[in-house]
Amino acid sequence: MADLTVLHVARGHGFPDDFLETHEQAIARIDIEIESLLRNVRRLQFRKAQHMESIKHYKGLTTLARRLPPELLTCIFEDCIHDGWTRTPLTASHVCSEWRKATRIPTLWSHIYINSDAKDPYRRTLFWLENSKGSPLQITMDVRNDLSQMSGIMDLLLSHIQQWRTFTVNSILLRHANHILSLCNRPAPELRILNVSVVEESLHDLDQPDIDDEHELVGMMGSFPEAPHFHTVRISRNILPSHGTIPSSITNLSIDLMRPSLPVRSSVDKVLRLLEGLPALRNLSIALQYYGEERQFVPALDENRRVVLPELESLVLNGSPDIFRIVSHLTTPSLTRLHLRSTVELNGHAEEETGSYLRQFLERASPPLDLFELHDMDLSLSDLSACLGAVPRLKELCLHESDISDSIIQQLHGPGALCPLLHKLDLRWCGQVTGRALVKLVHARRVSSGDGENHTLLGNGSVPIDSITIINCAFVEEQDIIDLAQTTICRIVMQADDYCRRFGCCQNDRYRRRLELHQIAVMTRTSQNQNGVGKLIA
Amino acid sequence: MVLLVTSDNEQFTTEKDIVERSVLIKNMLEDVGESDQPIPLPNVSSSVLKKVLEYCEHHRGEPLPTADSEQSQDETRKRTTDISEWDQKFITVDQEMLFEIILAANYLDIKSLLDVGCKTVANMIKGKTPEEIRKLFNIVNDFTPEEEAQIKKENEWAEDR
Repeated sequence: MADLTVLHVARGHGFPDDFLETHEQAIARIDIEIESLLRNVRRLQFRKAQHMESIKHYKGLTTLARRLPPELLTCIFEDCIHDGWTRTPLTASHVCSEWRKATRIPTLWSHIYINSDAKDPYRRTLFWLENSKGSPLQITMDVRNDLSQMSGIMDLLLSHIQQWRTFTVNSILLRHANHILSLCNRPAPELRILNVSVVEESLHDLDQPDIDDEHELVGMMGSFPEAPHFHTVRISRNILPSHGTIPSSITNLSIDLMRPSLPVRSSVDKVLRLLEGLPALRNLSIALQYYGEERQFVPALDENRRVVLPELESLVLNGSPDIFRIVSHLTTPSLTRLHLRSTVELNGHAEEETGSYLRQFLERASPPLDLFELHDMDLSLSDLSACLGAVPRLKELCLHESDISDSIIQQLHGPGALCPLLHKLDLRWCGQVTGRALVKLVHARRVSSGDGENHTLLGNGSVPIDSITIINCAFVEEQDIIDLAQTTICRIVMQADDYCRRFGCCQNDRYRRRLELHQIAVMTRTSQNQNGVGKLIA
Repeated sequence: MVLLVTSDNEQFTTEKDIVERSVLIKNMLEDVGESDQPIPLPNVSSSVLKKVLEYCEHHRGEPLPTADSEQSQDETRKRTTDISEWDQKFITVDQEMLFEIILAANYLDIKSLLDVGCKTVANMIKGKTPEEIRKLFNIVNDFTPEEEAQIKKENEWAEDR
């Protein structure tokens, strides 16, 4: 009931008595109508969502990711596995029925990863082995703290040793690695590669020809008695292996000397002694991850000591000047690839010494080098010139923060040119050479007719430069790049598998952006006008 | 010059050394010899062929992978899912196009392009859970209850490192 006073006032203004009631009832009717419409909207939205869900389901069943043929799915899964994601087949098999079918290929299960600390590693290994059926096995064992199942796992793995292709043991302690390797005393007819890594070990003084078993990788000595295809050993620890610990028949050896937790003294003599027992070596790589007070590499007692490695084709030494001394003791008549990479800033004396070893080695041993790489090592120009003079068959020269002058570039063309077969140059952070000198070199070596890829000898006995990489060279201008790219393949980016990729030193971003902004359109057009020789890879 | 005809009937004229990065087309050209006849590509649409030719043109002149080099690569070092910068930019396309490129590279037999495509998908799925992969590619979980039960059991070994 409306207030009488209010009614009186409303009447005074001409409003009927039921004015408010009429409007309130109208609002109530509208509210009911709105509610009804909203109910309809919700119903329609629900029906729309059902249709969308049906479309999504249809698309989900017909998506190309699901419809890829099994062999392509397998390729994708293999890429994941090769990149270290060994659980790929299990995860992929849980995505959908098509992917599950694609993972039935046994080779996808051939990468077996065993973590001693994981949940039930024995049953996991068994599951993988069952799925891998008879395919070649690539086994990786991470031996950590819980060793309770290791014995059973080794028995299980050894019952499939005929399938072993690659065996990797990553152990915290040396004795566990030795124990596992010592169990591998059965024929492994398909084994190719053995990788061993030990993390925790330290010794103060290793200046002994051989050290005691407690610190030696003795487990390898009796392992794999019959393994006709066994060719590669990779060792990662902070102590050099001793003579006789590595099978003498192997052809590829990689030693990665990690940073020791306490000072370690190694010796060139120990390396030489090790190499004397490996006459079949074709590829050798020794890397010091760190150099400083923690590690000393003492010179050989007899500076005339020589080790002949008749089959050695590739030698990679990463580390300090101490380790480069090794080359002066080697005779390698088959060496075609030599990579010397310094991991420390060399002072003038060290560079002079290294230049001297290298020069002596190349002049004395005359290896038939195809590829020569110097990384962060500035040889004197006279040493570099002499080194190039000693390798007349050189095809590829790579210099990273290792200077080369215009005068040496000049020696690479014209009558009596050095390295007449050189056709590939990779120059990075070279602070002396000018772009003009490189353009002149490429032009001088350009074949006036015919195909540059055939390395046709020019009248003066040289082949054309068919590829040149320029990264962060201060005196090579944009115009030089354009000129180079008209007559050869000019690359200003790293390769996909480039050594520098991990360090990020050779992104060349600023330089590439500058070239891209100002010149790349011109570049692309001009390079295409040539007879297919010139090209810029940016 | 070589004339190619796509599934949607579009014609592309291109240089021989570009298109011969496809082993399929190279073999076709060798079989038919010098001819002006167009080469039909019924499994490749024009939008996909345009991308494929862009790839082949960029990589013209580069050595083609051989069976020997593939084998030795497997023997000596592990393959990686590294992709060069140009290839990465090239393959930054929507998912539908990515899978179409993979199918086209497989059909045309362009090994390096197939590798780039597969590596790109590998990089997308690495480290993900099955559910995340389903969401990424809009894949429906179509397992039967029996398969689900088996998967549940297998999940015990999913955590390895």
